[in-house]
Amino acid sequence: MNGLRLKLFSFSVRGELVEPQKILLQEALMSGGFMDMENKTVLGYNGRILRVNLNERKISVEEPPTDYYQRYLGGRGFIAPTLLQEMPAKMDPLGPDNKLVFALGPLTGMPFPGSGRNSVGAKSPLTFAFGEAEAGGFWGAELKRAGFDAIIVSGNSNTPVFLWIKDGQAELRDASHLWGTEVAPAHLAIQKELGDKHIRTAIIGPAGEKLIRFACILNDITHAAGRTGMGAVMGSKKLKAIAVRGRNTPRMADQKIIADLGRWMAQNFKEKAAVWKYGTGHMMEGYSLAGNLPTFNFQDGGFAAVEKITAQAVCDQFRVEMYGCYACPLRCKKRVTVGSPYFVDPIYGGPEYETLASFGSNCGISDPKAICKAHEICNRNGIDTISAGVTISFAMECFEKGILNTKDTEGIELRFGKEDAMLKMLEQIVQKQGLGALLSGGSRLAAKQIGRGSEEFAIHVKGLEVPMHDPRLKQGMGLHYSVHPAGADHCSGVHDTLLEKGPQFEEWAAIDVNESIPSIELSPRKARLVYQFGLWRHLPNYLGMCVLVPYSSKQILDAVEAVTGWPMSYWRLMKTVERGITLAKIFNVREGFTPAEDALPRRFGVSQRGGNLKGVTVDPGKLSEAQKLYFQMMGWDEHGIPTMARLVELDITWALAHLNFSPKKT
Amino acid sequence: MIKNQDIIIVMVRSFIPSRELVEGYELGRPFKIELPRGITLGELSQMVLSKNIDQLGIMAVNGEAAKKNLVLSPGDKVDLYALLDGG
Repeated sequence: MNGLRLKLFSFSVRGELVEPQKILLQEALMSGGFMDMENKTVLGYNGRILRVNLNERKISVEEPPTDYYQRYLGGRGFIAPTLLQEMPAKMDPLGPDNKLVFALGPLTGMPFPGSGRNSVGAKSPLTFAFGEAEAGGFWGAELKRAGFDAIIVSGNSNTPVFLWIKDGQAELRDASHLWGTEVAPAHLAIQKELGDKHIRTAIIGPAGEKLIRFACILNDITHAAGRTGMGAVMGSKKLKAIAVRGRNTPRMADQKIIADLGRWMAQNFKEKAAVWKYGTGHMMEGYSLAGNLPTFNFQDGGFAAVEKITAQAVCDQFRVEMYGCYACPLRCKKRVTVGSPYFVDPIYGGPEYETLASFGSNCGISDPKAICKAHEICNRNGIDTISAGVTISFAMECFEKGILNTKDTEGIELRFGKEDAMLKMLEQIVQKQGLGALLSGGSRLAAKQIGRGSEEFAIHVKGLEVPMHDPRLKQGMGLHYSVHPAGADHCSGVHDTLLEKGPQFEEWAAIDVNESIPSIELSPRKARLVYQFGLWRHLPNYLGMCVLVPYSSKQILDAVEAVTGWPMSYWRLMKTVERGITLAKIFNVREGFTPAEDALPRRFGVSQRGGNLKGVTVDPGKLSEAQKLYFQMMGWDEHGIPTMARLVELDITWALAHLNFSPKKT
Repeated sequence: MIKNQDIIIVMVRSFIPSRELVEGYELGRPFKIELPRGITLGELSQMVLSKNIDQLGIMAVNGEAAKKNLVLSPGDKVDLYALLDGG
């Protein structure tokens, strides 16, 4: 099969008027046998994708062939071909031509730990490139049980709506009364309106409605699909939420293997992983010691007051409980409450590592109460904590170096370490007021507007703010940041420090990763690691799995086979990932991206000012050479354009039509 | 016979799950441990972590990065960090 040719599934549409808003309600009613999973040939999936056209208020269902599932698997794998095939080049990411894709993997919603993830993708309003993010919680699993593998939202609605999906049926409902409402009350209002407290939502807050470019989408109030501004795309469509309820898990090939994996994890997770105790951020003191804790807008990698902002410190002082995601015993999420002076509402969860560092050390803040408050403001309004924290640290450095002053900040002394200033600026961002209006576009756009050398302090790749892993220590991660089509994404990157030694080599030998390489090395063999191991690191986002749940690679392979019944191999899985990355790359090429945008911030070419990593930099020449090698291993030419040979090998020659010139022949 | 002067007491904090029963051990929390004088940091980490030693990344003594051949002193505060991953 060439490309994404989907068979339109027959369905009936019923239109009616909803009083008093006179909203046209359309409902896709599945024809007979929808819940009859016995007849499904695509095991582990529902075999159905829901399409929602907000321009026309139409809902339809497509039934892709088995080949589609085998070729793209799910998650990010579904997103790339959809965006490439169905969207015109260089459209406004906040306009009606952008499509917002919610996609599950084959393992999403299967009854074993780590399977609570879903992907969201669209053209990013923050980077103007391929955009994507993942989230945990229960929403993805609920959508799987509700009868769909993905939702593709097109067009923009004139008035606020939310999508309600229940056991194979879907309808658009008026959301005028929810527009402007913060995340938690909106979620609870939807549950109340629909009369079911078990309804799960993927929802935006006021930030998404205001089109803040790093707005996020939250599953069940606290699980964020944080990166690349997917919440703004949802807001531009005036789609407040997608509420889901379902009761039927698709049949799988071998339920016993999945049950055994679940039992194994329940018995072993405490020995294999540490995040269950305090959540992520439990080792921040080690990060600081190693030079991996971004501090003062990435000028340093260690923070003197780190012990005050670790996950343990937060848990000891403010934790209400630990909680988790679908079917997972790790329960690595912390819920916090803080009293005076900030009054943090526990309904919004609590800060994880990226948040603790981005609002903490990277803004020079040592008050964990202020960090908890910043986290709450982000979830309450629906913005990405990484981009928000790094954009504020950018502004702090601009202030300290005289590029911004109190006239720009309306009197705020926006210096590192000033928690009240950090919180005031965050409030300005979510309100799009004062300097916050400028910063709400992210650090790259803000720097472009401010000028005067501020570009040096904007720490981003392709406009996506760099997460809390320093490329000077993790040089492979830096290479990954630079070449990833979505920008500086840490979720699918290689953590070099994990590969300096360890028992992993025994199992990773199966994917031909068995060499100990120093984390600060940037070399041809590191480029190979980023390519080879990177394909495996991307895989959870295609499967709908969590990277924090400590399965071996063999167990992941077994799980895919047990769910789908397809004979599977490491090679086949990794080629599927390569297909997805290549399609995302073609999307960017079509948007006009060149290797010039595959650049790390110049800051990483300068040493941290102290600590154990002092003197270590990312060498621009070595980075350039490593990028070239990575391109060649990916089958991309020197312009970053996939070669004909690679398109043929991956069986995606249909994508040629989306390149406005012939790729280099090999 | 072990004499008191042959014993030192150090505080250990480990961020790596311990497979064997180590008295007082709790993930990420400091605990007191009595050790023979002259023991090195590497020997201590092997003793505490047992088969999970492969998960060991950076080590610190009194807040400073340290190598495994460092001989421990009475009252030292030892931190054993896992290989640094994501978050």
